[in-house]
Order: sequence, then structure tokens, then C-alpha cells
Amino acid sequence: MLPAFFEAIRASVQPCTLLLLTPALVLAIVTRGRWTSFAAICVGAVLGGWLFIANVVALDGWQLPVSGAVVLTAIALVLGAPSVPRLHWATAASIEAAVAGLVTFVATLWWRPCIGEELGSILTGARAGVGAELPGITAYMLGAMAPVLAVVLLVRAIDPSPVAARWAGWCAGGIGLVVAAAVAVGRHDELVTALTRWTTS
Amino acid sequence: MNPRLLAGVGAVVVALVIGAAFVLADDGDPAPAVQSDAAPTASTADTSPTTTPVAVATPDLPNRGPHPELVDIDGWLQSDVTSLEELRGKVVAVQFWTFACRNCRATIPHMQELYERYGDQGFEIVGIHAPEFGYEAEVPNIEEAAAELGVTWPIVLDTNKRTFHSWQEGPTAHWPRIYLLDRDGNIRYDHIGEGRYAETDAAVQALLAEPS
Repeated sequence: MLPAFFEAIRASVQPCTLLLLTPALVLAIVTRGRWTSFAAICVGAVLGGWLFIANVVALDGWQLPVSGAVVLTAIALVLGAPSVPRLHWATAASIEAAVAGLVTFVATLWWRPCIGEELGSILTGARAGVGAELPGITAYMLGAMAPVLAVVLLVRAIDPSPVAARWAGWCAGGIGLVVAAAVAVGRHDELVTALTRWTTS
Repeated sequence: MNPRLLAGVGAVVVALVIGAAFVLADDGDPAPAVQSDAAPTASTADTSPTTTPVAVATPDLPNRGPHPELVDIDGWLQSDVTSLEELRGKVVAVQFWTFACRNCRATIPHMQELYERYGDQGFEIVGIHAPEFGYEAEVPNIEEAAAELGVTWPIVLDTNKRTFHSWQEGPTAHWPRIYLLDRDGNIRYDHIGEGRYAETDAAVQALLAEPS
């Protein structure tokens, strides 16, 4: 499982995984590095990975625009949550965590994985039976979340003032909204193409 | 310890782990298999993948039945043949690839080694080019990439990815993916992604050794 974990770390900074990570990174900032949100992000990614190797969901078609709309709505909800009057902080944190997990799970549909040796073996093995590959894909998805962990820790280390945190949240949320809107209107492939060409040029 | 300091140290550690994952990454198992009874030659001192002997057990090669058809293809490049049926009697590696896919590109040197080693023994490679992005569908771009990468074997143009999806079960299809066909056109080996090069080499050897 360790090789899968490290292969995913390498893939996490490549275009193939960057689009999957975008909403998770955004939510890590918007939720101010809250551990509950990070845990939910990891759970969402792992569940999405299980679904991916089960080979029951198409990577394109109507699912992509719908997923874009879901992520768009969810990020807007999280950005708007602090303005809800008298919302208890624990309730807000629970909502944020639930949304973070859901968004990351849905965003696994955006994933165009780099199929290296380890993920390739997982996918090949999953054709014979998914069960045996669940530990491997779990390790892989957790490895892919390494940049999110880095951002969570960075936010906690900086511990920005409420005003700065709000601005950072709006900036990150804005990026997330733009990406989600692009996916919702069917521009997913163009995003991946742009990222790919930008990083390989 | 101060929680902020702890988080900062943690962030640095995670960043270092990400960096280390790149630095410590090896190149998979580039060494091809050779017959386990092959005598080492003087050139085995060479560290190049083509000459490093690695004995690998032959993988199971169950007969998964005849290969699917090539569906709605746009032609062939670098080839005199126009169908897989014309390659009956040969062991054929069918690889789904697209030139901008970095994992596909990483497999090319290993495919070249197979081609050089077994090309005159009844082995053929067919690269089915199924573009992921629009610019990958342009034939001049494919030809340029093939020349740059050293892809000298026949290429099937699967612009609409109909063959790509019809060969691969379920709603999700992958690049790179290699199938080995025996001399009768049956699928005998299948691997998704990079790697398993020695195993693939051993499978090719085993299929070539089967009576036609």
C-alpha cells in the first residue's frame, strides 16, 4: 500500500489529479483548516476512489455537468454559511464538514487519473474483484490528499485574523466557483486540456 | 508546543514528503524478463534495461476469447495491414494510448524493447490511438508525436474512441492499457497502466513459444 500512497503523492501535483483536488483545496481554506472538514474530505475522496475502481460510473456524459452544479451549489452554501444569523459554531462546522466530504466525493468524477504502475495494478486487479483492491485504492486516495493536508496545516500555522480568513475564503471560494461553473457548463475537458498543456509546455 | 508552530512544522514535513516522493521515485521495473536459462553475456554488465537479465515467472495467460472488433476507426498509420485479422499467426500486443498521456509515453521505451527483441519472431504491436483531447485527434500531431517518441509500429486511429470503449468493459476506459493476443487472435493478457514490463515480456515469450 505504501507504493500506492507515494505514487498518489506524485500524481497529486499533476493535472490529472489537480482538478479533483481543486474543490478540496478550496474547502480546506474556506473552512480555515478545520480538522473535521479535512477528515470529511479524506472520507469523500476514499469513497470516490472505491466507486471509481468499481467501474460503475462513467467519467463523462451527464454526470459531469450535474457534478459541477452540485459542487457550485455546495461551495456557495459554505461561503454563505457564516452570514446565517445565530448559527451555532458546532452546527456550522458540521455543515462545513458534510459539504466538504460531499463535494470531494462528487469531484472524484472530475478525476482523470494518471495511471502509473500502482494505480494500474489496482485497476487491473479490480477487474477480477474490487474487494481485494480496496486497501490499495484507500492508500492511493489518502496519498492524493497530501497537498490538502499541507494547506490545512499551513492555514493553521498562519492562523489568520478573522478578516484575513474571510478574504482568503472568498478568494479560494471564487476560484472553486469558477471551476465548478466551468464543469457545470460542459467545459471540463477544456480545463484538463489547459492544465495539461500548461504543465507540459 | 505552540499549536501554530506545530502546524507549521507539519506543513513543512508534508511538503518534504511530497518532494521526497518525486526524488525517491524509481522507474518501475524497466528490466525486461529473459529466459531463466539464458546465459548472461558480457553485455549484462551494462545497466541498460535491454540487457539486464531478470527472471520473472510467466503470468497466467487464460484464454479470454477472441478480441473485439475495431469499431468505427479512421484508418491506420505506419502499416500495410488494415485489420487485426491480417495479423493472425502472430502474437500481437494491442496498446491503447494517446500521445499526450504521460503514463502512455512512459511505456513507449518498453514497447520499443519488445518490438526490437521479438519483432522478427512473429510479434507485432498495434497502437490504438484514442485521443483524450481535441489536439490529439489531429493526424499531423499524431505523426509528429510518433516520430518524436519512436513509435514505429502500426497505429490505428480511433478518433471517436469507439474501439477504446468497446474493448474495455464497463463505463470507464483507461490509457495506457495493453492486451496480448495469441496467434489465433484470442486475448490472453491484459494490463492497465504503466509497469509490469518484465511480466509483459514473459507473457510475450510464452505466447511466442506456443505452437501455432
